[in-house]
Amino acid sequence: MDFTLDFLKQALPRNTPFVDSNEAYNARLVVERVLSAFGVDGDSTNPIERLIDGLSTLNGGDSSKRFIVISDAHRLKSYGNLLIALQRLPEIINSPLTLILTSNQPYTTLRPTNGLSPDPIVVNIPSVTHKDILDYLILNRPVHIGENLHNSYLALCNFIMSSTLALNTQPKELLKITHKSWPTFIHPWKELSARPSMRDNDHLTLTFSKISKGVIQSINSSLPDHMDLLQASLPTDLTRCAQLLLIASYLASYNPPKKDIQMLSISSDKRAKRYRPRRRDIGLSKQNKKPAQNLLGPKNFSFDRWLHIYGSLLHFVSESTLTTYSLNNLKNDSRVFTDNELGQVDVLQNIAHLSRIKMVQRTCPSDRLDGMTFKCAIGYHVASNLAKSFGVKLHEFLWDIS
Amino acid sequence: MESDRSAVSVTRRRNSAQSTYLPSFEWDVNGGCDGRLAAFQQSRQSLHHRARQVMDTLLEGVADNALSVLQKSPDVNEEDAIPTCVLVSHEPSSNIVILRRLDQLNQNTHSLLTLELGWQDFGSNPTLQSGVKSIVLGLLSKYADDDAHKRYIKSALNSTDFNTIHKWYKDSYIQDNPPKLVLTLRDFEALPPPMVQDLVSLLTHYRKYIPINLVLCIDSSPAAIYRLLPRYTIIKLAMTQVAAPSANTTFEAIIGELFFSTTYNSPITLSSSAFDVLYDTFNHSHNSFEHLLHTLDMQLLDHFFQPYSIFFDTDAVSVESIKDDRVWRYLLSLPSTISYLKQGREAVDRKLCNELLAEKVNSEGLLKSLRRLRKVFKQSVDEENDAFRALQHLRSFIHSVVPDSKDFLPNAKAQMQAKTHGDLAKIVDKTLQSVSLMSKAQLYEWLSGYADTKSSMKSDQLATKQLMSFMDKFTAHGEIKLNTNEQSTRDPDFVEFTQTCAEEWTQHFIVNLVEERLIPFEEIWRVGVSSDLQMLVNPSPRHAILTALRYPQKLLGQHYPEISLDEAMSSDNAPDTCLAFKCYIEAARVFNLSDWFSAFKSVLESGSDQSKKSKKRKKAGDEDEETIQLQARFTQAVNELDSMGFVKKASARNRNIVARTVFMHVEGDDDEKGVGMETIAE
Repeated sequence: MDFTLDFLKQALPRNTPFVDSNEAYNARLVVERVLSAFGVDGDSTNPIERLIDGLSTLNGGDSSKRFIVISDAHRLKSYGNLLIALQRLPEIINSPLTLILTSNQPYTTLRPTNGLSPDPIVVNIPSVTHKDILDYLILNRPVHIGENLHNSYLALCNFIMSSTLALNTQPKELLKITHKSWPTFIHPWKELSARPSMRDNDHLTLTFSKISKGVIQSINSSLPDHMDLLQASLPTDLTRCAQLLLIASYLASYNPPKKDIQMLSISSDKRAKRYRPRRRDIGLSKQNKKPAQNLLGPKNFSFDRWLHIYGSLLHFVSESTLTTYSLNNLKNDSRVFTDNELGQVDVLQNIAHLSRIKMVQRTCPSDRLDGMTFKCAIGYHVASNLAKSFGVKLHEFLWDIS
Repeated sequence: MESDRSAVSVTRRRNSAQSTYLPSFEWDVNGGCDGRLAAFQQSRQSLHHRARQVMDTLLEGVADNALSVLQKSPDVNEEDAIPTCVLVSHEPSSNIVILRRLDQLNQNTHSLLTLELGWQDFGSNPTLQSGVKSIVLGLLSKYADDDAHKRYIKSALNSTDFNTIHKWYKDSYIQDNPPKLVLTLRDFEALPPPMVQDLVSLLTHYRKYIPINLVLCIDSSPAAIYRLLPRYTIIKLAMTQVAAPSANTTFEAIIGELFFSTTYNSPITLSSSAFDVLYDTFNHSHNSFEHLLHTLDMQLLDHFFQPYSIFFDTDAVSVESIKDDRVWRYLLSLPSTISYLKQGREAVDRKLCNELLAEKVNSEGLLKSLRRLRKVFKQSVDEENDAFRALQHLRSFIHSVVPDSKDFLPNAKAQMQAKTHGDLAKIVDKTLQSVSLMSKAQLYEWLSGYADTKSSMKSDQLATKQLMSFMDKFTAHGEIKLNTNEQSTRDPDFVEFTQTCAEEWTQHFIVNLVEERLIPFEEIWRVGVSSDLQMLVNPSPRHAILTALRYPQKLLGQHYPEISLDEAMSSDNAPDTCLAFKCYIEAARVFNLSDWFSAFKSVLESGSDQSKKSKKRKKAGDEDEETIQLQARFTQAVNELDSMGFVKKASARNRNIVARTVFMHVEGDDDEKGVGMETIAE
């Protein structure tokens, strides 16, 4: 994409407006950029009328072709009717004008209603091949690399390409990564003037791959694994109330609602509530073909259910983690305790905080206050670690242990 | 029942206090109230000032780090991603402190053009346009003069166009070393992620021309960035993380500096319950520094509401200002005084005992001993704090030397808790066990840690004394003597020395920390908190409303003496809203308004049973009028319940049908627990 734009910049006339729709974030600014590039001005407050008014003054004089280039054009979708006006400009102002839109997304995502505008000619820019990327990386190698180290640089490029290419095909980004990792890569090689052999290069690559686990991981940071790592380190910063709420949200997301009473009731009859169907039984009966909830991902749960799971969890956590106030309440009367505790302002405040930092996802529109639904956004390991810190075992409360 | 009473007891307590001991004598004699108020204000300000100071020093280093990160950020040509400093604070107010400090630092150097953007700068419905507008206008009004301001902003369009900043920057900073532009997003998590993405891509576009830096303030953890922004945006940011100390460290530092410090003279000390409230609210529900201060304020208010707190400032109180003898007698009935008098220990001052016990209290003599006792109290607090600090130092030293000592030695916070509760004995014992196991070098290092401070406190003196004798015995020419077989066996002399050392310290700690000391009247200077405070700090509004509706006498009885607290109100003088609510909790999930009304009517009529006969004789017109009156009352009551969120419209067509939103547990009804909707609580 960047290369296409670079090429266009060289090929097109100098006064061609290059509008980056990231930067010109509304229709007025796009029009402003276009008009100022052509050195004209239109008078109207409506951006589209202003564009037409301004450009139609251009009509006289030379009849040379003009161009407008808009990058990241998929954002034009939210700019009102600007796109239609732009596409019909040659008809309206009656002069030759070419509109070039570049985008990562297909034209169909922003195509107006049928017939409003002529269909453009869609040119598919092919993705850059591996070999070309490699050539590009080699061409743009850091200037201070001596002639003797070219082969090692090539080895580094190969290594980075092979480890990141599945996710990342932006040559410029790869180049940046390569430049950054070059010093670490070449660090073990002491004699800078000597030419490392093939085996040495392999050796360097191996050492580098050992150190660079973190680097590669940060490149591939969109991998779910990595998110889990991030989350695992996180919840210690939260208040205990929020941590407990997180455990509750995990239980609410992964337990079937009907089993709540069985799993979390505060009854004295321990054996009855601990009974779970064994996996083998399920396998034999074949009636229950539903896969485990762990595989299906978190389910939505309602606000009330969350609160009440939280409330009954409070009865199970070890005493040292509770407030003296809650403890007093618990000793007095366990029936009213839950009721008392749940209405507390701080519980609600912690819920707001959790959903704000997306530890718990809110799955209903933000203006709905009645019957809100949420979804848990933490993994099993985080939840069980948290539960351990409260002195309870998560799997005692989970219906489906797999 | 029990908890119902406690829910409304917040207001009741004030009243019951009045009924038991307040009105029995004239308290506010000659400005007693003003005195209390002044004392409250003064202690509050002193504590706040100190706490802020502690915060500032705690976060100074973080601010310095952030500044150096910003100053060292790469130039435009080297890096096209936006250099971003991620300020991570684990509690909401530290970032504000850091930013303020950063601002101060920057005023000295002038190397950065800074602008802070809060959530409000993006408009009530956050949009990129209003954000860019506040960036442009903010920067221009801060750094450009009026002339330039007019030149660059000719129309409204200019102010929402980032290009204006570009032009202005290019024109005004043409020298070789242009200042960096630093934009601070204060409430990063509160901003909608798509808008932040747009802002970042806009800034990336201009990063090619202007050295833009970003500061993102995050309240939770750096993972928030990864959670809120897609990778496509994240690669446009070159992030450096600067983290503030954790919330627990903040708590330890502030509480430690306020109440357990030897350098700061705190106007008040904490009792165990007061510390528990602070500890609980901070750890369990709300770990913010501001909230900590507010809770402290509440505690102070609570304290200075107590009548004996007029004696807080003993120098200001004079004998003449207090006319009633019962004031003095009340003072003698404080728990600490009684237990002091009962104690037959040697430490008890006989003379003072006699003074206090004298049947006719000589108020002048009492005031004099009060002043004396205040000094004694202060001194004892100082000694305690000094010994406690020594213990803390020893603890942190052991933690640094013995790797797994965290298992048997609690952290600072737990120690503070143990101290306020008076059960430090075990901790002291365990700590000193490890002293006798130290090696020579370790002992030397530990003791010299005290000697460096050079204060005249007792524990420092003790440490210096021991250090001297250690140097006498085991050092030569400034170096520690080691026997040849020191690695395998310990020097018997040294073993003996460490044991005496440990014993001396044990004695010191036991005298100052473990032994209970009683000083009469100490309630005056020690913040004690009733358990109701926790209700105030962390209220449970839904429960309070429900209680008030179900047992109106409990709320009304506090304000009207003729209503008794424990008897249920008869239906003819209970408020209409409560009557309507009574019918409401007996109804099903969905019910009819007219049914409700008839139930309401029947409750009222049964209440006024005795006048039924006379009613019958009345004309039909009167009956109608009565119904109309009832209807009006009913409508008002229902409206009130509606505004509290108890009623929901059940069907779009029929307006008569409403749905209940609150289901609660009624006595004698044991099948299922009450389920409350969130409407009230919100």
